[in-house]
Amino acid sequence: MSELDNVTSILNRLGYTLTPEQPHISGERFLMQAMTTVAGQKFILIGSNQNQIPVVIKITKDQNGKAEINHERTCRQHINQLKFAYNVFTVPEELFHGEVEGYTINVQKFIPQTCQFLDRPLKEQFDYALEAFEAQEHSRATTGRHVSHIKKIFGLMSTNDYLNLFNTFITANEDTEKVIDTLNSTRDILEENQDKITQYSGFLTHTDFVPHNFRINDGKLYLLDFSAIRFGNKHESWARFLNFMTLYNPALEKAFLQYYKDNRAPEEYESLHLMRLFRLGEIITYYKRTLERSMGNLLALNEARIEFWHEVLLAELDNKPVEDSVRKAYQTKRDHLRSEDEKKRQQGLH
Amino acid sequence: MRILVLTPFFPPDVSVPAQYTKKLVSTLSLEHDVTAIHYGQLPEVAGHARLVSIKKDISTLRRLIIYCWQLWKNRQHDAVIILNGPSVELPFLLMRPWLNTNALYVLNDTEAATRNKPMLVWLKNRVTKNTRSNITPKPELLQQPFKHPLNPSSLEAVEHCQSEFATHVKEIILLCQN
Repeated sequence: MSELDNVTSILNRLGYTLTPEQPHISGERFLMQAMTTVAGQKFILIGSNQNQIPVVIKITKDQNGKAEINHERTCRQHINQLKFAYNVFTVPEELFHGEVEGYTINVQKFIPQTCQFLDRPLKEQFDYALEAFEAQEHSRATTGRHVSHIKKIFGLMSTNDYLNLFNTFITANEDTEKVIDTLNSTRDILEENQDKITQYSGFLTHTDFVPHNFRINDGKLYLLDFSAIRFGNKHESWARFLNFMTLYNPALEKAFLQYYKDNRAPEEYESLHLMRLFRLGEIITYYKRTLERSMGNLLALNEARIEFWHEVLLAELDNKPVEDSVRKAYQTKRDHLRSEDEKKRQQGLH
Repeated sequence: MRILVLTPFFPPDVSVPAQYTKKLVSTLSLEHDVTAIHYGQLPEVAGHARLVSIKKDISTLRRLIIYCWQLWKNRQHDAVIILNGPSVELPFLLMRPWLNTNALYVLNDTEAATRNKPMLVWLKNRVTKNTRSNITPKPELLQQPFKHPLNPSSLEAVEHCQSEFATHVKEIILLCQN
């Protein structure tokens, strides 16, 4: 009996029925593990409960996976209790949480969407994302009391933490010739501009704010994956989003950069730039670490990813968008090398 | 004119009062010598204004003492503008005897202005009595529109707001000069 069969059996006994198609366990999902937040192995399954209510189930017996699920739950429970926050976040309703036969199980109501985020009109995408970023930045820990409260629950990244983490990216890429030079230059820039990173620190930030981690229903944006929430530089959230859009929706990236230039302080733009550099270092390292677990087409694909994100990093260092031709060449290669399973998993993901 | 601005908030704080304060200080600094004392660190640049920062990650008592000390150090001004909030109102009242009598109270933090705890109401009343005049910015001056990159018509609202804000600042300057 496979672990999935075992898990399915446990969930059936608890009254949950899984859908035949499980998008979160196929394709490249096995490679995915967050690098800089609490992370472990877990199943994410779609199903329904005895009342036919669609649900999302997270289940694991991996110790790190359990830590991740429990941490996420704690963040979700505390997010709307921050005394210094000006806004309230919309979170999916939790239906069950517990330990069953050595597995930690968390069940939340599934949030249906009428369409994928990237299929919405550009202005709508912009407006929803801006609203979410503004909600995040309205929570800032500045006094000693705020800091001690949030540090225990969410974690707090200082400027030194970002620099130390970036050093681990460098270590991981030491044997990749061109990339290591670029990462070293990037680290120098981050070190020279520490004040600019510190200036916007202490803010609530969702470090993985991309379309597959939120859902829009009835005009409300629901944040998912609360394990990715921490306090740090506020532009980390923007950076992840904009780097993602460099590939998936350059027009939205361009719109946000224009918004920044027209409406935000120059210091904010600089901090955003630094965080984009940081996150690009991270994504390169993420794919670098997948290489030892990849082979064949997947290995070639992950190497192409490293090459692409390196190009994006070089462009960002020059404060320019990556060339369209570079993006398109990567997309073509990616689509050719992706497995059928992964292509299926990607459908409707964003 | 040398203007001293006392404010609880300043960007990178993102609250509405913080954004208003930065805009006020920046605009005033175009023609006047402005010093703003605020709580926080690494404030955003605001025109030509000089920004004095009081760290927040120390005890409340220490913060207040340091704020009073900075008020004392910067007391030689032609006018004082107090932006409402108990963390600023209390130091102002304590240092009042040494400050210029030309003081203006700006109630830009509508949430703080409506809190009804007795101590906060008392502070607000005392500051009102110890300032020459007070002003409550119109809501449209506080919640400022932004230039939407995908909505060209948003520029009109932004320009209108900028014009309204310029008028508001002129009113403040007149009140400071009287």
